[in-house]
Amino acid sequence: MNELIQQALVPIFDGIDQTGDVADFYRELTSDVIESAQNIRAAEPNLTKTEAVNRALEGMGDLRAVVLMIADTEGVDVSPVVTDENTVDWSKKGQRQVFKAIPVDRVQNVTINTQDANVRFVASTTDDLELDYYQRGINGQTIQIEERDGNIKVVLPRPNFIDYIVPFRHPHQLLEVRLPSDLLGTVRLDARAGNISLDNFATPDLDLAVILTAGNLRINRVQANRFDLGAKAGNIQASQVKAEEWRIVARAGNVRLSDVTGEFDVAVRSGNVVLDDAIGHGIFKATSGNVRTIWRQVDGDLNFAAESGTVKVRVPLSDQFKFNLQSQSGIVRLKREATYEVQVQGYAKGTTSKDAQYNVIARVKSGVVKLD
Amino acid sequence: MAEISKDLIRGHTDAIVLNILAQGDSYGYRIVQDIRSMSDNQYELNEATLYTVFRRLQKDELVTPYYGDETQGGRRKYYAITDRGHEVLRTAQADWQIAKPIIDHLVSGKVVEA
Repeated sequence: MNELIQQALVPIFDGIDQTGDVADFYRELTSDVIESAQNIRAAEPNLTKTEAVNRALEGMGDLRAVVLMIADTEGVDVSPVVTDENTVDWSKKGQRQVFKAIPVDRVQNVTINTQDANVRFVASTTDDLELDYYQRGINGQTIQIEERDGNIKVVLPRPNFIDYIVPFRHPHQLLEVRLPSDLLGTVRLDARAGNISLDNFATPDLDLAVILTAGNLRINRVQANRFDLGAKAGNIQASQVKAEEWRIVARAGNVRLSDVTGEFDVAVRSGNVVLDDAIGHGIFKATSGNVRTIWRQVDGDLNFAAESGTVKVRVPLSDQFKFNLQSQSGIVRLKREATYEVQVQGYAKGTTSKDAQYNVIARVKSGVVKLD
Repeated sequence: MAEISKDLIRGHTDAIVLNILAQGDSYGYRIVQDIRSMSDNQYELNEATLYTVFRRLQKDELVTPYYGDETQGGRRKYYAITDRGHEVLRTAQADWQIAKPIIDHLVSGKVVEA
């Protein structure tokens, strides 16, 4: 079980420096997760260890927010409070705060520009779009919020170099955006640097775009109409997320999606694409990296391409499909009964049944293609 | 029975945790279970909230952590209430005894002409 827990904790601690306090919290959390998972399994013996661990973690709240708080406050005299609603109360330390609420019927498009800030998107408990902004260590500037004809423009200040050299007062900004569930339109965030999280909300009519130059993007328990996600340097991670369409472009970093639903168009230049427990179909490309996808349900064609890396695909055992798997200088392997039109080392084409439900196409330049 | 609104209890989280620790050193998961059973499943505080409460109480020197026995996941981190924590708890308990009837009267009593 320890290994399962280690794996499950990876996204919670992803991208965080393993300093003393963070490592201490890791140990504390591990002990509690073990006990919780054991008790869950004792009460429900039919659960697997993985299910028990996941359920234990789900019941513990936003642990990532705790890790970020610990990592952020180490060595700095700030003690933010995280409530059950996971808001950060910087006002306790006299930090500047701006709050704005805009009724949802006045909102069509929201654009947010940040330079060096953390941004959280969460659910609004009212009918308003709410913006909560906190900062410390930035002199003379604050957030700008403009509203015109349904277009909301939010610009966060850019700290200047002097702000960074004041000891123990490293500039820090947090923008919390609370989205009402019936928000219809688009929300776009252009972030130069920072950690971006989308947590626990359902906005099924909303198109969400996050373009990140450097930092990590994490999406957890969200429903939206469409995601447009881009990262120049950093990881994109999503868990328990539904959308009609996903478009993801990452230049340097990994894309990891778990328990996700939709039509996918994913391209990674230097990094891996990993999908676990997915529902949907789509196109997946990696220029320098591997593509690994495990599907709970496939409802359309799957198309994979890798320049130098491996493509591994697993679909439900009961599915029937046509396949066209090619590797220019590598091997292809299909672990199914099939009727082949072509079957040589680097090329396999055929069908698992004349009642094929979809196509699986994989093309790799130098690497392996494995289809289970 | 309906669950208690978290808003009603939020301001007393520190006192709740101090009260539990005053009855014996404990740790995150155990305190979450204790709160659930003490409230007869009417109120839940999750571990994420508790971990931040621990750190705040520690910073204010109301609790002190230490590592106890080996568990399957390594040594477990316990929290013990300090003397200062006991003082703060006594004050919070006294304040609550004063506030209880006042709040009761304010939420269900009649307006009185000044």
